[in-house]
Amino acid sequence: MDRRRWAVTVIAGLVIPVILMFLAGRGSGSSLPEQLLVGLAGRIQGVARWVTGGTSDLLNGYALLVGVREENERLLAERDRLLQEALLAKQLAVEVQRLRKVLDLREKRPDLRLEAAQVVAMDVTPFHRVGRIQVQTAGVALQPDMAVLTPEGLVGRITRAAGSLGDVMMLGDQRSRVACEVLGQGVLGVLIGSGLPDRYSAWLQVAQTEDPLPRGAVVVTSGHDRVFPRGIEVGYVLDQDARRRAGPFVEYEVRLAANPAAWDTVLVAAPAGSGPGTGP
Amino acid sequence: MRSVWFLLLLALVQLLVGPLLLWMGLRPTLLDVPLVATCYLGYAFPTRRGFLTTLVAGLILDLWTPGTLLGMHMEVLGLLFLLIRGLSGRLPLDRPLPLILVTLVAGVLKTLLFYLLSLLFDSGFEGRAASLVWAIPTVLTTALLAPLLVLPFAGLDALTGGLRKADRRIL
Repeated sequence: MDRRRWAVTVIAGLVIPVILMFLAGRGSGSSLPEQLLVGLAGRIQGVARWVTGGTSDLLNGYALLVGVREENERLLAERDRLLQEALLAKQLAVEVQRLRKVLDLREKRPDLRLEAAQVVAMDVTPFHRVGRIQVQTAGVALQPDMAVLTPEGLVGRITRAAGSLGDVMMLGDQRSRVACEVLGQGVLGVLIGSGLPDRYSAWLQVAQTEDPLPRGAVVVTSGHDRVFPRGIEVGYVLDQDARRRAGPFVEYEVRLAANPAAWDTVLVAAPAGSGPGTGP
Repeated sequence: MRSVWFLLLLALVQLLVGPLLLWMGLRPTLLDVPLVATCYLGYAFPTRRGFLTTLVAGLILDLWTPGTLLGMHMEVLGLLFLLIRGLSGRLPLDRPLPLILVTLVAGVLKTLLFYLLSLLFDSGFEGRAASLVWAIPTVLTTALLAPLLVLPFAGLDALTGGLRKADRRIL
């Protein structure tokens, strides 16, 4: 009887995950159970980020500093205080500059409805490049296929959403596809994530009949995929000699303009014809 | 109750290891704590309870990791548990060297299983064998540090009285 129970447990334990993977891999968008589970996990991650960030601040800003003060108490106390203040001021200046860039982008693109979002988790594995973000504005619901960008350029699109939380598939992910054009050249193409773990890049696929693209040519979204708004900077064509043939197309390696690792705050844009506030 | 404590500790360790490694200037995914936890479950827990605890740990990891298909960690860790459970009868896994070897083998298998299951179930996944190389530092570091990483779990068991007397020599 025990042996039979154990066999049933093993079979159930191995088959249920396969069914879950099959459903998750086949489905597009976000099912209700997924929304609930991602929402729960995202909120816990938000709290964890707050706790670990606070602990790190405490360690860096107090515990280690106490040791330094003890060692240099008589001679260096005043200088340490001033250095700390200067460092804090510098950090604040960098933060202000970063936020100013975000605000500038919102002013430059009045045609887009942009909402600020906080990056709560980032996963870079050999298989996927996906991050999780949380929109800061109350009452804004994320939806799959919303574009995510920074002032430097496009970051990716939301693949799963649960209220104000969403998973973002970045441009470097090998599943990513973006309709693009080369600025000033009139060349249309599709940007495909390289999926390379050692660098954040993508391939621009254009027709063989097009003239060779110059090094440094700027790649922007064309808006033809009806996901990404037109004219958002995506990246720059690298060495044209390194282009390769792929069936009827030619592929150029593209250095992506936005480095998501450098940003704590990103912007979310609604797809054409809808707004961030209209989600489920 | 022992499983609940174990899962809470695993969540806590998993939560702390990433930021700690980042703070040390290392890659946050350099240590695979769930893999070591599965090894520990494989030799220190009763078979059925260990298997179910592994599956729950896998589910938590699936939810925790953005971009992973739901069920992926459950399946991989469940299979690894069965393998380690089978080996635990033949190898003294509470000794450092056998534990290192089994963690090494389990780490390689875990990477291959992730790759294979992604190919099978993730419609947008295009497998590139080169990406497997990325996992080598994680597998090696985790295997070498497995006798240390297992200590919090063995310590918790010793505190809560879950560890058998014969298993206490790991401490």
